[in-house]
Amino acid sequence: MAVGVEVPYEFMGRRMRPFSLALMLSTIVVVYQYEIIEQGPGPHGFDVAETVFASAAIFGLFFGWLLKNDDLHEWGLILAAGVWAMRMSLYWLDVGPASIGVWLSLSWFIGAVGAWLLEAFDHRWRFHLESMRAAGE
Amino acid sequence: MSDSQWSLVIGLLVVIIMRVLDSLLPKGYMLKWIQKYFVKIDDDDDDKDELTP
Repeated sequence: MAVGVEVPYEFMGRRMRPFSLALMLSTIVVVYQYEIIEQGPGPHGFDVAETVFASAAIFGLFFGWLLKNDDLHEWGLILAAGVWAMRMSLYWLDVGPASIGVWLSLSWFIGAVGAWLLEAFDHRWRFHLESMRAAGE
Repeated sequence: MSDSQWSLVIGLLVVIIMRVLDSLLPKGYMLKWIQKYFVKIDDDDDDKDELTP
């Protein structure tokens, strides 16, 4: 019985998570923007805070996948949503709503929240759906 | 507060709200209207069985 949506392919014996990979790479770009080329808006203190946040998200997404730890992966998605919300609001307040950074960040924010909702739904409700079917309801 | 401080607060709030929402998600049961309108149960063929919310 199939419940929810899972990509039926594996990589290195692990579930393929293409969206998480994309989210992780884009979050790495945030770190690159703030710490390597130092072109992000806001003061240096904000850069450090955003980098810490983003690094935690990257850690969660990568090791959640590598260690097959769904809880850690969920934390990665939640923290990534926080990173992108943070970035979006700073661009909005600092540069203005016409900034590309606002809408790009909003897109990734929606993606991260949506991916987390799907994961949470799958983990929380899967058991009930399976037991419901087994009971013939 | 400065713009960057507001942004930090918003980012932290997002994380907190998502965690609170997670704790409110039903565990082990679901709302009847979700079951009625969003869950497809097909018992005819195991190979084709899918519960699509």
